Amino acid sequence: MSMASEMYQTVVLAHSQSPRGEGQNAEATHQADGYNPICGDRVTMMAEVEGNGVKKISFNAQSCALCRASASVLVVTLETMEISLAKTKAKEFTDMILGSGPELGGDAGAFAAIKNYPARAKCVLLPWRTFVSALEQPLEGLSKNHAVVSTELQQ
Amino acid sequence: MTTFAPNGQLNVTELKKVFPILKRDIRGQRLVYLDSGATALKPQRVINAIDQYYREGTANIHRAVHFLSEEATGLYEGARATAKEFINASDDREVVFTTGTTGGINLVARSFVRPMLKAGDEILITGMEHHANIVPWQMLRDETGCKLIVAPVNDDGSLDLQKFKSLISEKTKFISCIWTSNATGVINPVREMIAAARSAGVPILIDAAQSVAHEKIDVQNLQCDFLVFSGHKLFGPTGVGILYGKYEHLDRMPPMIGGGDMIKSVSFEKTVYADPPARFEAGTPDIASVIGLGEAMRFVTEDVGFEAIQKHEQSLLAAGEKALSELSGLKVIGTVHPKVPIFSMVLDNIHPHDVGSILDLSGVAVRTGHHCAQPLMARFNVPATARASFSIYNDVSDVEALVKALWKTRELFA
Repeated sequence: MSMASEMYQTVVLAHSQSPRGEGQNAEATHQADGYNPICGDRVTMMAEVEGNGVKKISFNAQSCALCRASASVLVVTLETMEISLAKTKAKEFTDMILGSGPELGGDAGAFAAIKNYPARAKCVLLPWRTFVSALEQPLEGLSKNHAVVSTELQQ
Repeated sequence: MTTFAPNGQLNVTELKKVFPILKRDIRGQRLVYLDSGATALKPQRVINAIDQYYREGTANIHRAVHFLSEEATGLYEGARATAKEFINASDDREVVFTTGTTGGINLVARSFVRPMLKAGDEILITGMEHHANIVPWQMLRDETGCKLIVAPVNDDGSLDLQKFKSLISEKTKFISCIWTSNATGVINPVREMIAAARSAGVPILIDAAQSVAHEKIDVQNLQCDFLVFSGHKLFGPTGVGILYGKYEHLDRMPPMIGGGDMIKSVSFEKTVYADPPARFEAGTPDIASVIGLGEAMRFVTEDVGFEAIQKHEQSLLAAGEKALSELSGLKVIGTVHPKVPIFSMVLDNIHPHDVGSILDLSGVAVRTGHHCAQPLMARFNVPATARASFSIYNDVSDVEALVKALWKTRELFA
């Protein structure tokens, strides 16, 4: 496998070209914005929470292919999960990308090689960090000055 | 005639050999370094000069009578004399060592411009400035209530010169302009801009960070009031740069940083500041880097030469323009001439960050992002570009490597 196809696996390219969950969801209850000031990437992650579960996830992204594909994989991986499990899975994904956890199965595993390219880890993690932040930010209480998740401010 | 251009033509094959980093393999492939706009590679003689100072010549300057201190002082002040010749200043004392372009602009903003500003005054810049020539003025604006006026940029990446001239008024207290855009490579008509400033009696600073490695700077011919650049874009070390200022201006400027080496006398009641340039070089400076910068200037003058540089780089520009024009779906931001061989590229439906990654995996180093020029990116309605910037050690094989890697990028995302 060439290095380019290791980073941009077929699964990743497919998600980037036909992303799952892209667009607005009028029923969304939680939302957060993410920003990478180094490259200008922006994502908005939205969750429709019902009870203890994440019923539906959607996003908007002005971003590189890796970031967009990662948001789409997040939707596929976490949608319909219980909130606590979704958070655990997000942590596992983050650990895999940072090289501190095992390779995951499913579409998320297509990003495993990113641990060898730290410059791109921020692109891949932005939707996940933003989504976890969204779960803490119910829309009804959302102020205009709500925090934006930045790749440059480690939380 | 110089070492690497004995008959006026740059011998790039031989020149490459004095840049040790070019011997490195990157991800198993030869390094194709197209990021000289961010920082230029360093030739062996610059590395040697820095190494020698630490290995054999470590001492502080302007301090002691011992042999090593006198030697270090001689090398440090020798670099100033070299810089004076390099930019054709009329006096060594017009050359201030700074931390770089950013440091130079901030010093002028704080010490020259700030004391004369009042609310309603105007500072004029252009729409193609680097953040280093935007933010210091915004800081002054917020402190004083002055206005920051921005001259617009045309669709081809050139400055709207007529508009620039018309924005100079009796309210304009200072003008600060980039010479060559780091984001697009477009060269501004600085001579006309300086003439317009002079005829209105407004002092003007030229940010030459992106010009200094590409064309001969002659501050007496330019007649600018201030000019700044960084050493690391001139094949020298990081952390050091030059502020040129007319002596009459420097002489009336208060210091920005107080400390040792910038005083005539100190008592607890009163301190008398040293004359320029020492007034602006408080504390122990980056001696090794200053020595390295002096050596970099001698390298450019003695070993390469600006005539050969311009001839070579213009041929690279033409080769790059031709090759990139054959790639459908690729747009270059800033096409107007004159320009230096910088290509700020946008590929249809492929984000610059992805372009940068695929190029990197092919051993081609380019800069991706907004190039610290977010307002200019907004002007062209792009969040970022992939920027390939060429220098003296690049040749046509590097243009070919870039184009091949761009094709590969297109295929992957097809």
